[in-house]
Amino acid sequence: MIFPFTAIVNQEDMKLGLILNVIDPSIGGLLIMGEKGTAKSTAVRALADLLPEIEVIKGCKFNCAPEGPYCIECLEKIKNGESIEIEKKKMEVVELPLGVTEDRVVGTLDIEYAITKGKRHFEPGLLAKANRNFLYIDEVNLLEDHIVDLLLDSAAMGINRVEREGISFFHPARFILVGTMNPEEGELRPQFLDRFGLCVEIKAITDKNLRKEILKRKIEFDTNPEKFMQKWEPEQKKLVKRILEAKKLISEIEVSEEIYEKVVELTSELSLDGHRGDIVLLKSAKAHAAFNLRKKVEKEDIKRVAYFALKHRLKRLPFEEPESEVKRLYDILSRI
Amino acid sequence: MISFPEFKEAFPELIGNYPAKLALILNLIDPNCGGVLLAGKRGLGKSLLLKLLKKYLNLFKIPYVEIPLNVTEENLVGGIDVEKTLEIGYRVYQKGLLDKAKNAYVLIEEINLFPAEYLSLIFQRSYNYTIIATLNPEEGFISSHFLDKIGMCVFLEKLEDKKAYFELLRFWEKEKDLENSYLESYSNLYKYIEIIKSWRTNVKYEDFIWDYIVEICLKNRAFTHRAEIFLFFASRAYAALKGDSIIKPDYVNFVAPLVLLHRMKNVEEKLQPQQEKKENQEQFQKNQEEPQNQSQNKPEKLPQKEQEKSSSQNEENKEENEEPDMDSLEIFLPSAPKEEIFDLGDVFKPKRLLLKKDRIIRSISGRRTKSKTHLKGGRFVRSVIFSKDKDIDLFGTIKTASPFQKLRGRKDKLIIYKEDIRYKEKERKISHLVVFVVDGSGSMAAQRRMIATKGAILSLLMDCYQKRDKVAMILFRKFNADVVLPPTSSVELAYKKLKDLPTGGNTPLSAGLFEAYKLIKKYHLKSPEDRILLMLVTDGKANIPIKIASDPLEETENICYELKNLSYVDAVVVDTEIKKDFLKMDLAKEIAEWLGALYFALEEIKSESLLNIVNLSKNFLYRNEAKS
Repeated sequence: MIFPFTAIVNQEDMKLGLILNVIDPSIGGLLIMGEKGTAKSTAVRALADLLPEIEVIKGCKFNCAPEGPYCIECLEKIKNGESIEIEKKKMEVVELPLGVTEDRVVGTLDIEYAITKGKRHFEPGLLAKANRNFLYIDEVNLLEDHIVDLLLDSAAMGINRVEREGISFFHPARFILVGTMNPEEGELRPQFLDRFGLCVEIKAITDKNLRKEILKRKIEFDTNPEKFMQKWEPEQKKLVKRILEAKKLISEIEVSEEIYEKVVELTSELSLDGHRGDIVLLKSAKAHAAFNLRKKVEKEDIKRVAYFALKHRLKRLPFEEPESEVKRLYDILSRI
Repeated sequence: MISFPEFKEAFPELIGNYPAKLALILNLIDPNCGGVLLAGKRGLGKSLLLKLLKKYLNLFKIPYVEIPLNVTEENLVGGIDVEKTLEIGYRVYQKGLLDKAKNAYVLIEEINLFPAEYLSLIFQRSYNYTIIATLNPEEGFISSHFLDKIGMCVFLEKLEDKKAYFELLRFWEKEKDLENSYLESYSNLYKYIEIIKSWRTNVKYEDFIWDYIVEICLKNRAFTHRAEIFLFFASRAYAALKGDSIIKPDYVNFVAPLVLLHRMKNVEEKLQPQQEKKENQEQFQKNQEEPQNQSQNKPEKLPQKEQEKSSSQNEENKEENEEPDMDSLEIFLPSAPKEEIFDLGDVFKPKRLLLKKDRIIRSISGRRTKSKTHLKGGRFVRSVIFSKDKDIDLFGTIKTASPFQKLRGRKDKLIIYKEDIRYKEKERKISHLVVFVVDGSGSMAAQRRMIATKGAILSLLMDCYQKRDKVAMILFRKFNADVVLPPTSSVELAYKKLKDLPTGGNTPLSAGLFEAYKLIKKYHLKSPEDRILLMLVTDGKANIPIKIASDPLEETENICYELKNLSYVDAVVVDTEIKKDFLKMDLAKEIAEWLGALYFALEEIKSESLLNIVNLSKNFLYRNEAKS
């Protein structure tokens, strides 16, 4: 049993960052910077557990959506006119361990099948499992370089194309990328950093009462999970409803001329690399508006999410103090 | 006749970046143009453009091959087809991606992240296919030899125009169904390209155009012959695109930036003295002005010669559109190298260094690490018969065993003998540890010497960051030496430490070196495969020994010899002594000799010439490896 998402105390930024990604997965994931033991992985797992089931093509190892994009196998099925059955599946959190090998990430030849049957068969890797799920990487900054390269490749294309050991295969690989890191232990490559749509910083809670509350809830959960779940059930249901409504609402959200102006003003004043920051900012502001069940993006939405979307994209040389740029970001935000 | 929707309107999902679009279209018109390298920093739309191209190729069933980063040699060049081999009983080969790529487009994402061996395989037959690749210069460049084999190179740029910016935001705020939008625009483009394609061979040229092309290439110091060849095809394709029947110098000018940008000597980055490079730049700028003038003089003639039947209004529009575009191209060209110099302070440097680093990796590739954790890591290179690590390559083993299965009487399961077993050879990038040993004595405080020193160290640190080296820092002052920063990959932390580095007191140089020696030894035990670069920053005026009453310089000399004997250590000495002083002693020079180190005076490593030093030292490392 998984600790209920709504029972997580505080850490609002992280929770919001995750929810925005669920409302609009094209935001592109979340990087959580912070120390150990701050409920990072709990939050991700809890959120996945909270969400309603997704529809997938029955029997597909790659969780192909009924409306596509499809993997080779499903494409073939459709071509041959076979009927596609749909089944429902819970969303998963697929974890990418640090010592992971290349084959394990992208998939490889099914050795057992090859030895027993003498035939080639593709054995899906973690990217296959992660399609339409969460891909969770703990300490993402310590990941080996060549694994990061692989992730960059498929994150860019949304497709995992495998050309290994005599096997050619492709399948969709669209996932909500969630990474955690402790910046003291080394940096993340800028290109990979940029692939994370949002970035939040979290700190351990030092408030006595809050800490007490966390402890209480955790113990309560550990001793009698069923009862605890029951207690939180109404809250959980409320949140799910809100998220689902927001998901529906998002395509109707209006963005006024003024908001465009503000976004451009904000991002052109900070010297950002590339355009991803602006786009993500606008998208997450829309998601935020939808989450608050509004049909219009307000300045408040921008203010709330700007820090998430832009902080890790502020252009600076490796040794410049980030503080000055961050301060500027706050200055500009307060003017808006 | 279909009137062409200006090339700017092609690939409408990508806003702006006309040079990149033009480059793609020219290659679609004529694959002889040699392919395109889409370079640019993160988030500028490189991958998007590649996706759009893929969409185009898909829509009109134009053959193409994608090479993913996870590719193995097997799939690249072909290998044994296990299934068939088992069935028939003798080796059956299957084609690799590169065989399939014949006369097709080859799409490669993040080409600079491919290992050099694969790149050389890919480029060996690049005349067979047209490569369209993306590259992020922040992550390193590809070797200039490979670069030269790609026809065109475009740096994608950030939109500066506010209107375009708005358009971009409006476009991307919603999730897009890329596959099914703007289909009409694509089919228009396809129709037009098909027409131009058949037209392009009718495009004539006069003799002087040869001279013109050669001249332009020479002027821009693009000495490779491919420059001229690709430039010719590009100009021809552009002439065809303009619906003209003859290649005009204007057309050559227009496409020249695409072809020449990555071929100019100063982009290629040889180990050139700083001054020469500046000359290049000036020369280059001069060159730029000339064609510009020409192009400004000529446009009047064009409208008369245009023989297309589209309405005159359209024609005018075209001309109008063309002007700013010409500009943008011309501006774009000089601005690209500028970006290299100013933006990060020294983008030039990382590029070059990464090139070097590449080579170092290669020479070490195949170096095996013995610890268990490393066994798991690393990139699979090939399957070998013998290996110390005993990491079995199952697929290789099956491949070896497969032809003999009939002979061995396989019924169900494969019959594998001991001699079939193959092992994995893996490689991982080795990293460097750069140990800074910094003099914090009172003599360093004189004449604000420490400020310059810190500046120098900072620049060196910057370089380590870009190459993802680890750094450590040792400070010696007063009576002892301290490890202020144990080996870490967080250069950020190093910077913080450097900022508060104190100065004042004596110079216990020998203690500093001894501390470095201990640290290096310890580190080597832990990570035996890493190379270590010792960076000693001092004026060499040692005056405090480790042992009481011994000669500090003699002690230093002894430790230097010890350090020199460590085969995995290379050293650089940065002399901070003020050379105009009378009391100039040149002790650091001597220490450099003891260490077998490269020697630089502080003046020589001021940010500009800094690249030189690390470069040389890398070269030096490389040389050393070749020796060993």
